[in-house]
Amino acid sequence: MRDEQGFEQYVLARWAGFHRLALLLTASESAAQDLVQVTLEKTYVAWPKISAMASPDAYVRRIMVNTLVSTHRLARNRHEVATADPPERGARSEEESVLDHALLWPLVCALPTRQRAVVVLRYYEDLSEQDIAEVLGCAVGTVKSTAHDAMTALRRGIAAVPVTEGSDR
Amino acid sequence: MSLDQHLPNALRRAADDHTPPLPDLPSLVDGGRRRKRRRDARRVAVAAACLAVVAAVPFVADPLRSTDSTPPTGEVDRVARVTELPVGDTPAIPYCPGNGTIVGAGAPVRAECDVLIHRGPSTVYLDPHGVNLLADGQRTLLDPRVWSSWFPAVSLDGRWAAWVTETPDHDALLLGFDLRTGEQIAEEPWPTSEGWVAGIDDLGRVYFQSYGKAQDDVRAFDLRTGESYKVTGLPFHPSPSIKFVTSDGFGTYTYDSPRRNDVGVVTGSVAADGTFTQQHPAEQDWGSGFSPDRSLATFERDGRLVISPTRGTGGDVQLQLPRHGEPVWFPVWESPETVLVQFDPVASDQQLASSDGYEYPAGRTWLLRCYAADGKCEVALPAGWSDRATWPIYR
Repeated sequence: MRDEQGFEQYVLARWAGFHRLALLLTASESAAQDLVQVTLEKTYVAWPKISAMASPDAYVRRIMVNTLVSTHRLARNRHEVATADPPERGARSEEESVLDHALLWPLVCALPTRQRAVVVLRYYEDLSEQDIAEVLGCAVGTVKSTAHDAMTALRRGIAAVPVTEGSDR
Repeated sequence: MSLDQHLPNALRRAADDHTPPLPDLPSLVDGGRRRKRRRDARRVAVAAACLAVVAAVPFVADPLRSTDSTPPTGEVDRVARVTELPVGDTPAIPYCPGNGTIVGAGAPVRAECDVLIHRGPSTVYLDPHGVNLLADGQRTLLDPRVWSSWFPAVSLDGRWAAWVTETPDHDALLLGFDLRTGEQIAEEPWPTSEGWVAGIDDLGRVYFQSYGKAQDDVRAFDLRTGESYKVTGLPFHPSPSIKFVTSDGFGTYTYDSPRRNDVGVVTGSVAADGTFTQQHPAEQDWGSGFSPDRSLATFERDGRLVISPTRGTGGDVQLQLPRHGEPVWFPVWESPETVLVQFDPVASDQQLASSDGYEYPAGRTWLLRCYAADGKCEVALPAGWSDRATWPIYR
């Protein structure tokens, strides 16, 4: 008999955190909802194994990221690339730095899936490159390269933001 | 604060601004049960199919067999599969033969295949322990401080290398090296919160672009003298952006026609006083794809790799890569006449853009040599040359 009560308790306790992570990974509320649903369904299937783990969160996170990447890959193979729907960029006020949050988040949303996953795992989940490589199932060098490309894209994006009247430093 | 320091806050705020809906536990459990039933059924089916799979081994063992039903394009010079290409010589630049060494830079150097940056006569090798110079059969550690978000920039002539690294207290430093001697010639505090490094030219000038500032906020830092100066005279554009660095300047956005707001890219040289002088219109994606003599550049056009003269028009040559598969990275120039292309024979997607973030299965990539004169290609190294790497080797 499957420990469904334990599974439900786990989901209730972690729901908000997983949902926020999914939102950052997908850059879309609807896609985040789907991602959490599929991730937790897969978690249910493997629950007897996961519930016995010392760190079930790490395993669920791994399921989530790999579900995201593989879903994206399948979509690409069908030439139906799911695109993130980044929120509108807010107008920058004089007080805001060029590196403000309202500017950065849309740029993160615009990153390709794998780059965004690396950025989120590194800067939101605070994982090391080694940990990210384990989550993604790739080499540390791949993580380094992906992080490099993501940061270059973000820097290019920041540099390309037109200057508005009065916002110059 | 640098971008690295801002990102956690930006992500946290984006996450906190979001109110998760309540979980639908019955739906989750039902979905999980359905998934488990499908998995169990698949296991039974897989077990039953084992005999059939054994019988079909000769058929499925060909990893290059493609299900691609795309009709032929009519380009008679393009072979269908990579296995149909003629086999040529091994690369004339350092490469991995697949046995835990790197050859081609003097005596074989014992090193796992990792990232190789080859410009001019120089090859820079990155591994988890730092940035190295490969020359004369030796691997010389230039510096162990490498920050994954800033790969080394190497000048087109292979003379200079520079990259930004992070100190333990999260400040950033620009490190500069003369690759001819292997000596470090610069270590400067670097304002990563204010801009980014676009690249380095053959004169040892690192170009730095400020974030979100108006025109004329491109600066050059001369590694040889330690002097920094503003680049002036950039073509008008509301958000000037360095697209790529050339031998003595860079390519940047400009308006082709200011009244119609058509945007193009123009190359220009930067004088010692920082004056930018426009030279030629350019393609946007020339990037690091310049040939050693700068007369040619590789770039992507309509999903195909093209070699184009950097001056004048016409004379473009499309690389005759096999129809099945895709190049996984921009080519690296082996000589003024040939480029090496990392090619994945089983890919089915566009994998050219350097920022696409797709998966690059380097372990199964072939290394092809293509000729600038006619675009014809041959095999330089078959799959397996990149050891166990999961990322293309040449960058």
